[in-house]
Amino acid sequence: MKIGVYVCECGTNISGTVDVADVAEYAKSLPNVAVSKYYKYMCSDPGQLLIKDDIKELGLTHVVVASCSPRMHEPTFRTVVEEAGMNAYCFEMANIREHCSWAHMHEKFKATEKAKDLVKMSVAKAALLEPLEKKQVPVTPAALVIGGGIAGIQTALEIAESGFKTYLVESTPSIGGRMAQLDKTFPTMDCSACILTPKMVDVARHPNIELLTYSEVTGIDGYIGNFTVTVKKKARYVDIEKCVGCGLCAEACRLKDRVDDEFNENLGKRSAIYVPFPQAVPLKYTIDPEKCIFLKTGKCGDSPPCVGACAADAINHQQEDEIIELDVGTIVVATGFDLYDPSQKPEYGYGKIKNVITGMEFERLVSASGPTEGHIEINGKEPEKVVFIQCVGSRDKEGNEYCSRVCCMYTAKHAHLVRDKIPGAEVIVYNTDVRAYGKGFEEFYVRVMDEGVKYLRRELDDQIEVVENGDKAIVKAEGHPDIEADLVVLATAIEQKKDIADISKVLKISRGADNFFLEIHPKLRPMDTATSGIFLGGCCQGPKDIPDTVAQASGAAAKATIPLAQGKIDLDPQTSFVIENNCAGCGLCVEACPYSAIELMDGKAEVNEALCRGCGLCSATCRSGAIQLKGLTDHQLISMIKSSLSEVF
Amino acid sequence: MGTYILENEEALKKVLENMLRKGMVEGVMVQTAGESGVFTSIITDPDFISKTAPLAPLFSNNNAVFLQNNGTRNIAVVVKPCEARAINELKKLNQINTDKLVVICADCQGTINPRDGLITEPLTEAKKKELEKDSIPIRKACTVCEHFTPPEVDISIMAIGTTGGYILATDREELLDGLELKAGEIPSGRNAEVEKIRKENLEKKEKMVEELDKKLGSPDTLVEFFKDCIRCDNCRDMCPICYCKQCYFETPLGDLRTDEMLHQAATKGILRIPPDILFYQLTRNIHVAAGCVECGACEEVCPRDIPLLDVWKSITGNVQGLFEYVSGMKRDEPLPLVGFKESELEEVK
Amino acid sequence: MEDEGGAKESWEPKIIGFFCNWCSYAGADLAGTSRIQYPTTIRIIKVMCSGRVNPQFVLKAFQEGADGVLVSGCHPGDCHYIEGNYHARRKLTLMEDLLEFTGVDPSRFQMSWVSASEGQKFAEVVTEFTERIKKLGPQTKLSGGEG
Repeated sequence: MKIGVYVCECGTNISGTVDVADVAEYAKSLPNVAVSKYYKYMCSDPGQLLIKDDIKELGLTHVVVASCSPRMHEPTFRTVVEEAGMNAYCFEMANIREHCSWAHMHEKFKATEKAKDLVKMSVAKAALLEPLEKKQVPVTPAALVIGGGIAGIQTALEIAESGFKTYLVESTPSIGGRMAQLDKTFPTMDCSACILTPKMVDVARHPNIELLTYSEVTGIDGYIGNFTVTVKKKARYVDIEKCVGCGLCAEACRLKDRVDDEFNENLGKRSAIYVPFPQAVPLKYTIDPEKCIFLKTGKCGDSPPCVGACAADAINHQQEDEIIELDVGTIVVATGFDLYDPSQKPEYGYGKIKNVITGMEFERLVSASGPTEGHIEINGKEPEKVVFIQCVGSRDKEGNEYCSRVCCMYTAKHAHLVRDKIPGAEVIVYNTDVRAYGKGFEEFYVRVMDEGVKYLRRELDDQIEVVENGDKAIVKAEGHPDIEADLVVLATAIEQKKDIADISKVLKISRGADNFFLEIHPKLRPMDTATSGIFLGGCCQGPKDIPDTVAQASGAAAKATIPLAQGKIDLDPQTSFVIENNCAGCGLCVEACPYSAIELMDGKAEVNEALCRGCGLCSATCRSGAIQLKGLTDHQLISMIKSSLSEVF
Repeated sequence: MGTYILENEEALKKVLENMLRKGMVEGVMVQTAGESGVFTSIITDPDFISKTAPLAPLFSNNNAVFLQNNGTRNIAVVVKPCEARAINELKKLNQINTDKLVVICADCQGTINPRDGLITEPLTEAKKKELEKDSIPIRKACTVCEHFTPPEVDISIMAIGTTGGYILATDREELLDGLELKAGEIPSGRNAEVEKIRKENLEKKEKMVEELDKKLGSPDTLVEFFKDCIRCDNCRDMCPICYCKQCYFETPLGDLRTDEMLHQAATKGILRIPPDILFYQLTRNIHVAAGCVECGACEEVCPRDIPLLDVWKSITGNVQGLFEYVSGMKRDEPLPLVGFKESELEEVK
Repeated sequence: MEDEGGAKESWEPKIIGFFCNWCSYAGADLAGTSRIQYPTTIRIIKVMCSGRVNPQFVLKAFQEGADGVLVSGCHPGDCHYIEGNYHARRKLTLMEDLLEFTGVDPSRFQMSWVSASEGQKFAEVVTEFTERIKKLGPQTKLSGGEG
């Protein structure tokens, strides 16, 4: 065994504190070290060449580089040693910059001693490193997109356009998502439906897209390139092959205009058999099993009127959920968001005072396709004074700490729409910092103020209360005179989906403190999750407006397409392995593995290397050390422990 | 669940014999009073059942050890509650297939190490007084035992609370096929009596733990405590919960060769041999604490009379208490050390 | 506080840290990048997940003479491997319980959640831990030659 040790000066980043010459000299005294050198920049071309030449000339079997964090340059140096013919996994790094020179800038002697220890530990581990072989597996050339809002639509279209089969799974009866509920979009005031509907139709028509609406992903197995996805196609009780979307069934339904219409935020009514909105894709009817009299009681008059009304014979109350499996190579999660429920804060009076509504409810009121056909009215009257309250459920130390990013601009849009539709109306916006950071936002905000909308500032901690007063609501904001308003609109925050715990469990991806899905790097890898092959699009990762959602969705599509285009992927060889003779088959490792990568076969644990992600939970659980992690074995770790603490070898 | 009256130990023997004769099991593991004393045996010939002493209050080791990796053939086993708990614990660890066992377990009112006296009749309060007079000690583990009634087993035999005779309880009535047992009831006063004994034992246990804690509170007492250990590894080999095929201390990492001993000696200047006594005991503690059934077998087999049970009582109580777990009471429940709760142990910041 | 004289003027604790790759090791990196200064007492061993830390490693570290052991992973809910830190928390709490029994002061062992963005917290944890260990003095219970 011949170990080469290379100590980096990193300009003066390391050598300004650590005596690199001393460290390199010390390394020579360590067991198995054949050569030890220091150099200005180990990662530079000449630095790399230094290592490569030594590997070739001296026949080094292992290399230790003492420099920056392995999180920085480990891949670089692995490639370097590999290019010189050494196995990439016989390489080890000692972090003497981030963990040493930069952290102990005023303690040169102690920092140097620590650097020596870190090198000693790395050498001890390196001596036990064994060559590992990378494995390649083929990639299933198909993608799954979960969620059919604008993010999912955009992602699916772009992956499909790249030539790959794309499954788009949506839990509601139609794609379109939140954007379909919007009337206009800020700051350009495009009609939301006008720009969204064509894209929805594109999805339905695209030969590479298979649309699965009213369906839920219930299980994901496998790993990047080879996921097996279980999808539950919920019973629609309507044969979508036969349904022509004529709507005669809904007309005939005995619950016509009696079921709360969630698309209209429950401000309107629908039948128990319904399409969420007229432009739905697919334009196929669905029976609401929670409401349908026949499904609930087994009886609906002499025979259900919907069945009689359907000329296509499409209605089938006996239909059952169907479970299907999909094989895909990559997955994009675009599950969208829910909105904060302001009844959690009783001071706003939401749910008790009729005059208080949410921004999304306003959106439906003002929409030409909404329950009032776009006529803004409250208690049957056009409001004369409208108060908007911002930051409801966001920027809240006790609740959602984050800024929900879209509320300032959607409030400006709403204020504009009030002034547009009711020219004489007085419009007041209670705000705390108007965040008009996007393209065209500031201009729009100024325009709305110029239109006569009054912006009143209040601090986040200032008390605010809405109280009922006859058919009006009084807004009492600390530091401001009370305002008697006809309509109060709450700018409620974007939140993670309420059923996210279920979705997370299936996806096995983690969430941040804000409950949104966690990207692996906030700046450089905003679409990647910690699970390779699963990417994030749109608001499931954090609040976004439509342009940002579309941008992220396109990015996620590009990320998800790369492995499909490559056709094969490398698996990290640093996986677990079982020393069969030592295994008692107790199954503790099977229980501990978060990826179901271990199975008991004939009373012995067996690792599926393709599923193993190398966390080492199994190894820490095994009592006899019968399951080990390549590149981080008990032996290697204990060797590091020992070398760090002892002066002798 | 069916509950039946067994007039006496002989009636229990009939149950065993019936199982053998009917071919429900191929053998019965049970204590036998033979010519060389009382020993645990496996009986395949039903005629030998008459020689058995199924309820003899003797314990020299935990017989669950011998049931590990039981094969595909059915046997009935008559065991103490601590053995039954070990069986259940090993079932969860895939080391025992309980589908192939008929576990019969009776209330245990204390046991005696056979080397101290060969008592074959079941213990009662009166009998215990007699033993005291004869200076025959009840095993320490039994005097501080909290779980002396059957855990989840196939057939439970209840003695506590009955006025002579036993109550047999089982969910597997097919095991009694062909027997004409009189239906009985679990005596109403049983629970109170069980709780009373448990309370007494618990008090003794707490005192034991307290004393140990006092002893171990001062420096270097752990070294002192284990100073006589010769690393014979009996405690490990006879521990039903130490189930590994390959002990860490027999792998190259744990089985120190002289080079490694020299390394350890050099770092400290001196190394005691056998090495790693504390590390060995502590490792066993880590591995076993969550599953320990506190049977005291380790202490019984220790040739140097190290009071190992005291240590286990202290640790097991802490660890299982921490996870609200009592080992071996059930056959199917999550093992504490491979599970977790998101909301627990929130003091870690 | 220059110490270029080089002599060991006083006893310095030896602390072994087991840090997960994704959060805590990155948090320690960030402390360095941000030039946050903390004592030189800690030697960090990178593991992929705090759940990789076998309680035996902690015992081994004490046996080999560590004065303190620090295990650090992602905050609950943020584990890169979904639940590894929860496993670590359970296993190592058991360990901590045992330490008490061995006579090793349990406060020589610490578990802390440090995220990739908590360079400051990391430095504080190491500083406070070092101070605590300094007060306790060298650990000899498990590292004595007679054990």
